[in-house]
Amino acid sequence: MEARVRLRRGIEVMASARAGRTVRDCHACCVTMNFMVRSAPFATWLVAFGSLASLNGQQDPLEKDHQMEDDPVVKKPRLVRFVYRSHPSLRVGKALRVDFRAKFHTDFRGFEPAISTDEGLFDFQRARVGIEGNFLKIFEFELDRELSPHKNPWRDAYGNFRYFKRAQLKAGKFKLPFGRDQLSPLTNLPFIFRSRIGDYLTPGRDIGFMFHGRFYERGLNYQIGFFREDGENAKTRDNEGTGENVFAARVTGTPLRLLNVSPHLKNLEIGGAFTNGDVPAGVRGLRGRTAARETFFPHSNVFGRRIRVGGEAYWNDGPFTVTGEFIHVQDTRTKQGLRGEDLPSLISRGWYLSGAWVVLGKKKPDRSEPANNFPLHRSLGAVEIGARAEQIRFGSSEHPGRPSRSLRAANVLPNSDRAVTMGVTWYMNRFMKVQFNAVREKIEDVQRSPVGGVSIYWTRAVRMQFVM
Amino acid sequence: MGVSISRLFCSGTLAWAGVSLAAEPALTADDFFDDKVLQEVRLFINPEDWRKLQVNAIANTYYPAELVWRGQSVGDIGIRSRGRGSRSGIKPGIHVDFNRFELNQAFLGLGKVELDNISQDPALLRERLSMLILKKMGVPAPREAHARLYINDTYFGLYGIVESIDRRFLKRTFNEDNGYLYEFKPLTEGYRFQYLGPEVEKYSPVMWDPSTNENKPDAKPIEAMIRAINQSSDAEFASAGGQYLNLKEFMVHIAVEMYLAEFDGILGDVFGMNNFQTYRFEGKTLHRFIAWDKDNAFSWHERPLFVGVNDNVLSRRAMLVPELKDAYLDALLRTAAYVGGAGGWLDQELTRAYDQIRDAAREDKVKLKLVDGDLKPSSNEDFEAGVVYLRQFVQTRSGFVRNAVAGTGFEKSPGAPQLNGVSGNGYFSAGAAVSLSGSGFGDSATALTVLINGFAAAVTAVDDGQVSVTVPDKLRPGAVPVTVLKNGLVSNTVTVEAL
Repeated sequence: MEARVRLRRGIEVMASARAGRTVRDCHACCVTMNFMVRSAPFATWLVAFGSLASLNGQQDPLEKDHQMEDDPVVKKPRLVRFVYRSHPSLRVGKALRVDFRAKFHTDFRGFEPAISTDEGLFDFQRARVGIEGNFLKIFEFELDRELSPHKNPWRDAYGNFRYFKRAQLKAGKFKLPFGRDQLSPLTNLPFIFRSRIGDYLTPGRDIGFMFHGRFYERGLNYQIGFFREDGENAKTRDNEGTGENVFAARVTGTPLRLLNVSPHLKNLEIGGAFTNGDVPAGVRGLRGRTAARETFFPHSNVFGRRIRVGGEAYWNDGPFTVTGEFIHVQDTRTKQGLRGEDLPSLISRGWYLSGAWVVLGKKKPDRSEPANNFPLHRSLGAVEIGARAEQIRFGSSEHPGRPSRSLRAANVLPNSDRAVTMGVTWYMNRFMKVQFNAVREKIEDVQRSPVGGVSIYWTRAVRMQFVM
Repeated sequence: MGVSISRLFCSGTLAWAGVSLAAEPALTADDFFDDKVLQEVRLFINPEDWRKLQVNAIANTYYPAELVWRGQSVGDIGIRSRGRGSRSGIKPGIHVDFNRFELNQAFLGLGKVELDNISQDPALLRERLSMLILKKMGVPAPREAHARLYINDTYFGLYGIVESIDRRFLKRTFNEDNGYLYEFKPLTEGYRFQYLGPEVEKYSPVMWDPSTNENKPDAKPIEAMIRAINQSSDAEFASAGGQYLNLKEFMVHIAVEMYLAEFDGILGDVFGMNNFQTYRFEGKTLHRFIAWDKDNAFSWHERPLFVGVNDNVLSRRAMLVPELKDAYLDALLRTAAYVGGAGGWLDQELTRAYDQIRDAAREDKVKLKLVDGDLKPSSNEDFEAGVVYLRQFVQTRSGFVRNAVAGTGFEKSPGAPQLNGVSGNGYFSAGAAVSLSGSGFGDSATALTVLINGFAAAVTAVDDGQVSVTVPDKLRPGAVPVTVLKNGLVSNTVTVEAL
């Protein structure tokens, strides 16, 4: 009880402090925001341990939540109430629910050979706050904003009308339905970095609308949408969109459920996805970058259409998870030759295959948290090891004449990045996890390599994550 | 039998082709920079890229292109807008990078080349003539020629082809290329060799921007050079500065620029030091300056000979050393001797170049000129007027310089011959044999250069008091200056009436 009071008091203090900043003046707010961002790595851990310390009654917060609801004092809840489950939440009867969410990542990274990146060796990679909830349980919404400097600070901002589960309508800014790796929240992945194809061949977020639904208890899922542009992942260095009027569709399912096969295989989920959009003339081809975000294949001249095709597979059984994905992107290059002639299409293609194994403790299925929390359950949480092999490659659909690195080459000299990632993830509790990754990359064409003449790159990273 | 005949035919054809190919001399970079002909360069670039290059001329964005010259084509090249004050979207200066996309690609052995838009010179000739004089005086300078530039097979304008200062230039000029090359980038507020402190970053890459060894640009010797120039005592200046620069060569460089009335060079009086590059020899602290971009030369034929000298720390201190001041005045007189006057060497070069580019210049619809610091469209009348102004400079500058040098009390280099007169008045004409009287000629014909209105005369006989020469064929009638150089030391000049 004392813990609950302390927690509530803390939330109230935070809420009043936030309101006070808003009312006072913008300058003070900016300064405070700046301070928050700078001090966030420390604050993150302070808050995280503080939260756990405050809950140090040998009980799981979830259990406490249940107790709160059963408490005779709050048995007849007020119309407007503020509750704390795994995150703070505002409830207005059963009509409105607003959850307050926060995600913080801090990365420590090392590169070999030494590379100086925009982010530096220490990167406060993510400081995201947002709300999500529903209204009358049929209208869902989410609004996320990145606090650290970002080209596109507003992340998800959408509403979802889910009166019919099989035919829901989502509108606003959200991820185009393409690419399993990209669509999985980074906080849930067993690796610090997404796959190269997940980062650079998928569209990411954009503004649009989408019909989606599921059948047979998620045995068949579909997403069909239309979007204004081709997503933030495909934007140029100047943050200009590279595609427009994009149609996207994705279907996933677990067909083996229907067959008489081993129960271990019934969880196999397979899917396919497709996008089709216009690409205005310009240096708007997809680019390739390493894990350190160093370019090895620059944007090149394209014009016409961009078509993506992707296939994916996911299997989970107990402590084991296997994921694979393949993506093929074709950008046409109409009238893009030096003399205005059509060029063979630019092809961007790649795959990855990853596996993970929870070697210590237990992890909740499909969630980024252990079954038993550290330190409350006298458990270390869960430890998962993983490995991923992948390749991303760029070239042209045909190969007339001598291959060239020119942005308007008919025969594009291919370049690729082959990477192997090894990682360990410690899921401490529902709030925190710590990841250790080592990535070895090999660039095919050393002339376009981030460091001239060097083909092998190592990236080592440690990430501390706090999610609420 | 049929097979045998066809084999014979084939081998005969190949043999013929082989002979034919062997007979065709391979084209070289010398052909590309040959100013005896008006070159023709064709660039093929996607029209959208060309539009972007013009619209965003201020940006250094590279665009893929193909260059064709005399039937030779090189693709996969990168081109971008170039220049500072000369940068224009109407008539872009173009930096051509043959190995932008292909690291080892070269064209005629060249890695890069500049297509100069000559936007600040209505006569379109100053840059080319300046480089001729600089090279004649031994100052390292790029090769240049004029060219008609075609963009996608449509004539665009008259450009200068300028050799890039890169490793290939270094190898050709200094016979080494592993030293440190820096392009000097002027400061807006002007910089004139002042010592700014021991921090290397204040000098490089801010001003001395490395063009070679970019990953390990050792700029400490530049700081040391400037420190020596500024902080050495008067007595030690020549030896201290001499560790980093050949000061006599430096005096020649600024003397030629002064002769050219260049107001935007090393002694620039607008933005301070400008338009030169610096090379530090491999394993040494010795630097050499390389001339660059002379669109603003030939500004005024009566431009005084010491403008800016006292503003620049290096030239001011060097002038206090008698030997170096003599080197400066000597170089001015030598330049005047090489250039000649009316009808002289440079005047005839001007005529030849003008005849060569006239039609191309008139057809150039995007030519520009500098008016009050801004680039404006230039007309054919502007072009003709510019050439007239340039000719006046060329014909009169040497006389002005000789008089101005004489005004300092310097008539000839110490140890140089004394020229008293020229025999043959009355029959001094092209091809005639004449003799020069004086003293100190020595007895070696190879040590002597006799310049008659800028043309070297063949020396047929020499003794200490007399030199016999054949008057050059190119000499034209009129008053012509005659000067004798002995091992590079310049005599006084006498004027003779040529028939």
